[in-house]
Amino acid sequence: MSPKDKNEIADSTDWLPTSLPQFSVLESSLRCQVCKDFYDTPMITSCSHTFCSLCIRRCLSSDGKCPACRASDQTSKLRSNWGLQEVVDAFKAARQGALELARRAKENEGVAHGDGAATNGMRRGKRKLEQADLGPEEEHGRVTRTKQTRTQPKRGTRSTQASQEVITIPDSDIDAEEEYQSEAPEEKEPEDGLVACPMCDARMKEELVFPHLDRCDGKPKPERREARASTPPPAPPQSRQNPAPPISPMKPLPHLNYNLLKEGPLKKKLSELGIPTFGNRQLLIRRHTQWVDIFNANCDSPRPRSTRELLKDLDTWERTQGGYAPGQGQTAPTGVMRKDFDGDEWSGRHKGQFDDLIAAARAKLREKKQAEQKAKEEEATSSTNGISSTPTKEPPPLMSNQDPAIPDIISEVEPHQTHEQPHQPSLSKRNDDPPIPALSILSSAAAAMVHDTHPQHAIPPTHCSEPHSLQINDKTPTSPDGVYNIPEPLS
Amino acid sequence: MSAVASKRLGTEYKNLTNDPPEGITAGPANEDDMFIWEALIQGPEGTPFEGGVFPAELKFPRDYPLAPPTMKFTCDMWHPNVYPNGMVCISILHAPGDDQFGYEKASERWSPIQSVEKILISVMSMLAEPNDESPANVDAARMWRERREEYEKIVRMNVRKGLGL
Repeated sequence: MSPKDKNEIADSTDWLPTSLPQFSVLESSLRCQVCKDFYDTPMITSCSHTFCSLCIRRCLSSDGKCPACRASDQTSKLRSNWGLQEVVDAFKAARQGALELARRAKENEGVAHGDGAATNGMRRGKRKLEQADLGPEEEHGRVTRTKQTRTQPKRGTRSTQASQEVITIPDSDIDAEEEYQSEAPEEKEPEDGLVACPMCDARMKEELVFPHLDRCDGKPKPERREARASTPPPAPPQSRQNPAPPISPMKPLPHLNYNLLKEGPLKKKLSELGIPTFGNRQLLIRRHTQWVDIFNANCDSPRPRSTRELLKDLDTWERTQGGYAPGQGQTAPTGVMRKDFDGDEWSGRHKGQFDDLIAAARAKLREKKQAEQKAKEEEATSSTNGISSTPTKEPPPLMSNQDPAIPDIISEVEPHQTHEQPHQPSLSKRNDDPPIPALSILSSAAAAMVHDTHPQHAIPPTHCSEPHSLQINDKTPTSPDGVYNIPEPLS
Repeated sequence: MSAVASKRLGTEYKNLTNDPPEGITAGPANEDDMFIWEALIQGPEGTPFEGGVFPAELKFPRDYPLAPPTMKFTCDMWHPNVYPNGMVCISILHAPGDDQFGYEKASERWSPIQSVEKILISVMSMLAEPNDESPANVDAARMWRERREEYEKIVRMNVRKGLGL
């Protein structure tokens, strides 16, 4: 959340730097203690505490107690607090204007009272305010704040002045009423001795109506029709009236006894409600509880929202605390693909990774082919070189000696890697019994000396024979490599 | 972002900034993440903690305010109710469900109507008056009970160390 957002959050402390600091207390009493926001569909518990419908439902779902006094309670015992809802709505509507007035009043106060007793009064007030701010206990601080206003008639009158100014705001209501009245006569039958055509509302003498009806196309004159449509029902402006508790078309959902439900039936319940059914049992229960709370809170609301919006709320919950929440990996779906899985979206998102994998696989294949080719070429060149050919040719007989062990491996390998077969025999053999071939090769090549003086680069005299011994030594590592590569399906 | 939790934390942050209780400062460590806060608590007057400023870290769960945050001092803290690793053990930070100690009154426990401000005020008064019935740091508790002077000496040393003296 950026600092800008923080400033945009309306809060009771907005009143502190104005001429009406005591409104801070008023406002905080109009806010729910759980969400710290203005009451939204306030409900009274059986212990007479008031919270937003959704807040108290969530609290009761989580531990079944009133957050304020910890008395046990049930959601079925909650009752709406319409009066408070009305007060909150009215306050919210007046807040912005009142706050601006109070701010301006404070500024003017600073400019106007530059002298005399007023300044003293101001200073005294400020000091007390500071004390109040620094009070260790908040309640204590607030008490001093209110006391300060009581001991200060000056401030008191100012605040009443300000609030009188505030009161003038509802003028807009009166305006609305006047507008309404000015609009109303249009709707009333004007006493001009004329009557309206029942089809197009055009006014005419009574005897002309029937001839007119013969010609009337039934198209109403636009403005008139509109006027009629927009005319409010004969009721005073909304803000003055008790909003009648709406008869909610939605019936509250019952909480389930989850202990009696196995995962299957539970999933069925969820899908009947039209909410996601992935995740383990624990997540299903949490999601159902959440949904019941959201849904029932909406049933309480005087301004119920559509199910689609509620589902959006549930989705927010899912992303922050449910199956998609960060750090909740264990509750996320594992192994099983979600029903609404979007394959295109997924492949688009991971295209880069797939491309990398494909490129890597191709490069590996190319390398392998090159290595093979090289080996073949070397074999070919070495076989043409008289003595040097002996060592490389030596292995085959050895391999044939150990044949019994080899077939198994080859047969396993064959289906995948037929093209590598020429190498395999020697490779697997080397693995089985590495020291023998090396020794025998060296001895047969009469290169025992080379073997003893292992650091090969240190033997310039035997230079010509060196490549062979090197080649043999090289081959031993490469050949196992070939064997290990076998299981890879990519090649 | 959890709409409920982060909104409430935002309101609390603003409230604490505009109307801070004496000796307490707190706010998100990083404004992109409302769920980790840093707090500074002044040592209460008239105690060996006086003059010190103690930094702490508060971590909020995603279902805040249904569940309480955790609090951990990030400085050396020798106190019967603070674990050697800095974790604060105080009843207001314990959810009513898990009564692992069995001695705490339900009324002192966490409830969604508590707030960061109330936690920090409680911790401040905890510094002044340790509860040695269920010590988190047994050595500190015993020292506090039996050798108060030595305890206070260590605390004062930590205060000086924290101030970089």
